[in-house]
Amino acid sequence: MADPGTGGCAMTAAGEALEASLMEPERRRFRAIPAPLLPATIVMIVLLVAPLAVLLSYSVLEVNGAAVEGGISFATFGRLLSSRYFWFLFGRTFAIALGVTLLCLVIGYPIAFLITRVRGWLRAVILVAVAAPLLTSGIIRAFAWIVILGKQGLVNFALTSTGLADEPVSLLFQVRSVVIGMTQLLLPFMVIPLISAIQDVPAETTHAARNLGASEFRIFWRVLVPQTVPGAAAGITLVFALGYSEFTLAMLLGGGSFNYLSIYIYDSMTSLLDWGRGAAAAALLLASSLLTVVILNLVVRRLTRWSRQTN
Amino acid sequence: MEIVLTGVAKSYGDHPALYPLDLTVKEGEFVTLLGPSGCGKTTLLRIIAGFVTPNQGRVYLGDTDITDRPANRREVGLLFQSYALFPHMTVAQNVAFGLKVRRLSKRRTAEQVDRMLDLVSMSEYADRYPRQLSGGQQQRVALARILAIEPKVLLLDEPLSALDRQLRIQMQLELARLIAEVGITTMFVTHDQEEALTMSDRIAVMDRGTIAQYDTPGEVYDHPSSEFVASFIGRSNLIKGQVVPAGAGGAQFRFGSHSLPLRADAVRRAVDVGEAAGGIGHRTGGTAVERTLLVRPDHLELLPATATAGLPGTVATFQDLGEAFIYGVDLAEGPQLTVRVPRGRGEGLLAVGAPVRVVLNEAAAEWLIPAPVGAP
Repeated sequence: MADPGTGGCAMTAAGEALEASLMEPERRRFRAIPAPLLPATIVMIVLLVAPLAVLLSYSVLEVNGAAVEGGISFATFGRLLSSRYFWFLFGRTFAIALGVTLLCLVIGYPIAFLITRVRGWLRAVILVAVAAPLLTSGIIRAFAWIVILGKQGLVNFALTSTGLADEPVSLLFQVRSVVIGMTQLLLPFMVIPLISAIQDVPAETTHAARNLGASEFRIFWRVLVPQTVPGAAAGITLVFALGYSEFTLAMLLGGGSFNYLSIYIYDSMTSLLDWGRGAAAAALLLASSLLTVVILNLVVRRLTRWSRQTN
Repeated sequence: MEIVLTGVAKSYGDHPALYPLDLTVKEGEFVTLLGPSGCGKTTLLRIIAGFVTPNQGRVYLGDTDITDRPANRREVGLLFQSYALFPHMTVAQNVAFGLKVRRLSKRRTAEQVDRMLDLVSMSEYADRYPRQLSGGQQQRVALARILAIEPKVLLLDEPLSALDRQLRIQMQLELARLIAEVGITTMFVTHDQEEALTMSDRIAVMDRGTIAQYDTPGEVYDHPSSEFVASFIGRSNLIKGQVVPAGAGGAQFRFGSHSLPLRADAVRRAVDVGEAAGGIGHRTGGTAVERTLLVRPDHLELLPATATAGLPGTVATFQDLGEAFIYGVDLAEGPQLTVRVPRGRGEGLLAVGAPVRVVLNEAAAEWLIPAPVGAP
């Protein structure tokens, strides 16, 4: 015969377990944001999401200068999108960002490849040289380029003193100086993800290709490069997004006549005090940047199906 | 095609990986390089594949000296331990890779890919990516990829070590069958003696950068050339003692207070493989000679303690292997002997501590390890 005492005890224990399991969803809801992430989440909301929301709200409100005057209106967007100058600027910004991205890819790939193939101090020297732009302020970097590219700068000194050019070539304060400066600035964002992508390629796959008779050229293009697409995609995304919204370098190396989407937003806000136009342009910059990144990722997903499919 | 190595040696800095060695693999032969890790077997394989340049010596493929030929122009197929499939290519694209390098027409490439996938029974997986395949399937694709280019010789670098036991045994048989079907000269590297014994025509046992013995599996197992070979292949009892003459061409092996009669065969062969003629005492009527005797555990038998034959001892350890029992028997005033008793022999289980007698059985093929070259 069962002892009624222990039976009752078991019942209570079972009841408690049931209660606990019913309580579980309640507790889970509280844990939607894990405690360790809470400080970072608050910082993000206060310092990034909130100001961005305030800024973007100006683009869909009736504003005069910096003062909100009325309700929801998309007139500012209409004004911007019907402006031929804005479309020109939009295209130029996009083209420059894209060009810089391609330059970084073309220059960055061999550098990343080299870094994975050398050891010791040489590797350290190349890494530091590539990462150096990240260690100095943007303004100092821009002035350094002015010294190099200016009429009396390093490049022109070399050109005129060797007789390659009769008189100084104008390099500064135009599209090309902006592209040069940005490429140098953003190169590390391409090289660093590429280094890890190249390192992740199993060396045995290149050995196997050699064993099957492939030339070094074929091994590089058919075996190595395809396996680094995910890393290249990360670099392309970073460089494009940063280049597309770059401000300091565009301002200082572009000179007075050069315009860029970020400069246009800055001018709208500070010089013209047209907060509505600035906010609308910022919204379009952000949206087009996101869209480009999304499209890019879709392409990459397609190219790297092999890395996800498992049985 | 025949592989011939003459005086091949390799060292990394001051550290010698391979001492000068000669090795010939005959046309169509399946040779295994067997040895513990660090013995130089993989280095030797990589020298033949062209990934490692030897410091001296020549490598021949048939009559052609390929020592200075780059790895991608050797026509030597290497199957990697990690399979090294191209993860971004489907199974069919992997197999087609080497054919595209050789600029085969689209039609002939497709035919060859089909044929190879059929050979390794992977046709239905042609459009899968390597990541979607099991280890054994990846292995087969890697083999199809190598065989597709019809290499002159096939090199296998521990291709089965990443598989679990069941699959490994199955792949051993399958690999051996496929290779026999293609009839290609094959060199196989492994540290697994069981693999070496089941698959090879000949085994080169390697030890610290040298080839310790190069012979058929049976010879290597029954007549090892050194204590290293004896202990590396199979379980072994290596007993140190003296060979003393015992009338009519026979000899006895004495160790501790025990003595075992030696078959004339074991003595004669030990002399044949180069031992100094005067080494065995009975030949000259001289004094006893120090030697090591090899007795495989399956050549010993246990008798009850009441028996008169055999050497007295007590059971010290016991291991149940499933198909057999392994006993460790401490001999009175002597070494411990390992005895393998097949399950179902009828003897009841012996408890640790039980007194027994150990005797050589009828199948016994005891073997005197030849003295090292240069030793007295």
